Amino acid sequence: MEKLEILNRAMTIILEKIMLALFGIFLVIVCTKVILRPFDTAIYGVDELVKIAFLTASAIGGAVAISRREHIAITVFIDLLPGAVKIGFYILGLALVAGINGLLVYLSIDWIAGPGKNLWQPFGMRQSYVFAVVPIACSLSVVFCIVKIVLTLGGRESTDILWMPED
Amino acid sequence: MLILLVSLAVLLLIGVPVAYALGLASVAYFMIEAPAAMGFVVQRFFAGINNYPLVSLPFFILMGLVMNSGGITRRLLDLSMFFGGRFKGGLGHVNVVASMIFGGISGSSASDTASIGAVLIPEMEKRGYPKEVAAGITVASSTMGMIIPPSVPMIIYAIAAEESIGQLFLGGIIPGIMVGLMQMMIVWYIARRNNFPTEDVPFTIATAWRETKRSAPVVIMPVMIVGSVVFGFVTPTETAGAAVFYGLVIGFFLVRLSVIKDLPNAMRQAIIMSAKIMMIIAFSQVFITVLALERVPNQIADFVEGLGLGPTTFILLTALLILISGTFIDVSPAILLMTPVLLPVAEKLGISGVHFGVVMISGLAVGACTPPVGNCLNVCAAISRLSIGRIFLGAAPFLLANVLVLILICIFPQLVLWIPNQVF
Repeated sequence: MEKLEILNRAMTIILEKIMLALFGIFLVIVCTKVILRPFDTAIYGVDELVKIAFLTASAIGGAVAISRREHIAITVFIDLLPGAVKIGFYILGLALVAGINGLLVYLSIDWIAGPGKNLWQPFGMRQSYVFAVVPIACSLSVVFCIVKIVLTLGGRESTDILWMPED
Repeated sequence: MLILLVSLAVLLLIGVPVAYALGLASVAYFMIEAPAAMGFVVQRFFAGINNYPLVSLPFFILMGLVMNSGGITRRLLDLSMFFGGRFKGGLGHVNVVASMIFGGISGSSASDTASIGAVLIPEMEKRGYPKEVAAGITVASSTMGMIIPPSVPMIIYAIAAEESIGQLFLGGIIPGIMVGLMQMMIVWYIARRNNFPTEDVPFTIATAWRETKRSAPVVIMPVMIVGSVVFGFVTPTETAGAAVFYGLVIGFFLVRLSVIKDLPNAMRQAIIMSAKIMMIIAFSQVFITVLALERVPNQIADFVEGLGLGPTTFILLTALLILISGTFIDVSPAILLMTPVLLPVAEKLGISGVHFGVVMISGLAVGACTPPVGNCLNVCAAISRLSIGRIFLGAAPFLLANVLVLILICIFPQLVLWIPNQVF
């Protein structure tokens, strides 16, 4: 169980670092674009690059938010239930989240094989390279859900606050 | 259709995160009603996050977090003290004025509550204000963070409704100022009845000039943001990126290294916060596809037309629905859930999308201060160590201003649309 906790923590930290790097990249690109605007200088393809970095960071962020339990949920009703029932619903919720992410991974196979063959302009690369973000991030979400379920059942997770409220 | 609504309601009630509840309900619909169209799920999901204007979202959130640092808040409070302190109930007015200015900088009510409340609630308590009143004013005045531009909920609405961010920003100005002025009137009335103190603030031209000059780099920020979005100097995404850069520069000059030291954590918070909203946006695209397949907005529009409701009655009823929903649902999911269902009906009745958006956000701002789900209440409870119920009781008289303004903007759309109509 301890190894699982360490794995969970390590994966979360690594993914957060990747997200931060991607955020840093598109922040710098956008600021550079603004600075260059008075000089009427356009950098070819930067908007697409920013979009790819952003959607990758967002997809990974969706998985990290499961690990950090930061997704927005309405917990006011299950908070009223007895502890065991509350935990039961939390685990059921995680199983359903794992289920829909697994389904997205499965559906991505045909999607990547089909429309993924088209080219992503202006880079001229196959769209499948960008589409791959979806199954990768969803697989990570599935892993985090399973880890959370195991840790919760093993009594290693606090269940006082199931999901953090929106900031 | 029944499958969609029942499964969504059950999933939300059992605490499944809103994003995934939307996705699961849509998947349940596809499995039963249209299994052949299941491929849509992943395509619509991707379309939801593959949207360039959405890049502005983490930037605006980061800008708010950067501007939330102590030194910047202190300057805003000094400026607010200068303008509001000398009236009866001085610190109450300072709280409201600071929220009006801070709302234009942070774009978020929760960060407004945190930064202003941390300084002013203890200060007000020392000056003889009951703690509930101090916390109540802080929470109620923070609602202006959502209404006064720039506002993160407005950006989310603009993207969901495909409306102009610039027009929404301008539409929020008059209602935001009205809320502030009415809350100041309520502060004045309560202060007179309870004999709350006046602050000793000498008013001289030299002091006025000094305070304005000290705060000018911070105060001009919302003007620059709204100006550049509205007049199209740069795109909203570029504006947000530039605002972060500007925030970092002035933050560095005002609070030195702490702004740089706090940056990685602020960036982490901003990207996670935006990612969880992005997940809702992505799955709401799938949900909207189902609504469109089932022609739900058209059916509701036909139903409303059948009832013979005029636009004013409809928007007043919508405002009531928003107020009730806002007590249970957080702001972003509420916007993303209600906009695709209600906006087409409103538009069919001739209500402008900008007017509808400002009404929705003004209503949801009240929801952020009402139990059981009120972000500002949660933040304030952590700062003041008061129960949510007591804070709400303290905030209730001031929230009357919000409700009154909400009713007024429902009845008189020009209060929202006048400025956008002058500019666009």
